[in-house]
Amino acid sequence: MDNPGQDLKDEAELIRAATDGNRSAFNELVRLKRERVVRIAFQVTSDWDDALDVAQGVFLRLWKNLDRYDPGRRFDTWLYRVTANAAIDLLRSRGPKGHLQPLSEDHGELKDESAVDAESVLSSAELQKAFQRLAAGLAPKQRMVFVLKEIEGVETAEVARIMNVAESTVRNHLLQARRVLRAGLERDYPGLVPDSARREDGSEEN
Amino acid sequence: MHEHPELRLLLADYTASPRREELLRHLQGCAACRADVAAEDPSRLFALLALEAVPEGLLDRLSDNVATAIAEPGTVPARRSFRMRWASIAASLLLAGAFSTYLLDRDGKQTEPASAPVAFVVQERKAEQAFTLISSRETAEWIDLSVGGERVVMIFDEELDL
Repeated sequence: MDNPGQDLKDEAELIRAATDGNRSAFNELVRLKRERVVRIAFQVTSDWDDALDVAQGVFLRLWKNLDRYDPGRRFDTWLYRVTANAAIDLLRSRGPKGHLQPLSEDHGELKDESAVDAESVLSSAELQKAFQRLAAGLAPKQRMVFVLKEIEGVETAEVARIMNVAESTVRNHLLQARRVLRAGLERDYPGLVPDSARREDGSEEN
Repeated sequence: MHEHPELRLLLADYTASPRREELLRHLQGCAACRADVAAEDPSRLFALLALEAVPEGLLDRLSDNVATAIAEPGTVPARRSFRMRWASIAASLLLAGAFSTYLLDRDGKQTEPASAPVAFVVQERKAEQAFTLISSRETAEWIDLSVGGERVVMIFDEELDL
């Protein structure tokens, strides 16, 4: 970003124009925001088509409700809140295990590794598969917090505003999510965590 | 333990650093750092998913769909063409089944309906591929939707293109 201040000014102008019904301005706003909205939706739903559905619904809702936006507040917070709610709604509509997926065929090979083989275990595709499988065991809000904070890099205070909860609740959701994911990784991908990092009770040192 | 200065930043807080993407790129390319992060808390490796590329064309499709929808109020573009088409087919079949089916007994003997069935037209080709066309009479078409011992037949008032 060459000039963040200018971009923010542009964004504010785009929002103002879009609120007045300027479709070109709104389309430009969509272009600016679409990637992150789609990414968030994907990491929650585990499906690019679902992510497209969610994002489309989010932007259409945004177009209809732009006049409700308070310019005194961060636009992104509002946008990601709508995104989070839409993605969580979709996740809930599928039930708690809606996205539980079988282990991949090469999973057995990973299980047999006693040493860390980061190259094979942590390929991008394998990591994505692992997340889709293990995150299915998270409550929707835990998953959303993990996605926003750990994957999208949103700060805790902002996640709290997006989720409309206290920061302590965000930290609690994150802690729970990490525990579940960590336990799943240790169980399904034992070669990922060096033996030296495990305690005798099966957990790890910090 | 392997020590890269970047690693401490990563473990301290991925989100606080303005160099987040740079750090993640380092983590992606540095097996030793990945192993160290895995030893500390393997779930933190999922931060690498931030580098995952969105499928080509998906973002443009999103923009196009939204632009179309807001340019033509009341027109919501098909959000998932494949899924929506099947949903509409299923709904059509359900409605048609509710209004125009009658049961055949288990030995296949036909029970005539008390009155002429209401007929619906299904024109999607793929829907019919799962069913068996058992006979036709004049312009009507019959489709067998039987499951187990129950036989259900649907009638359509146009010839189906199977």
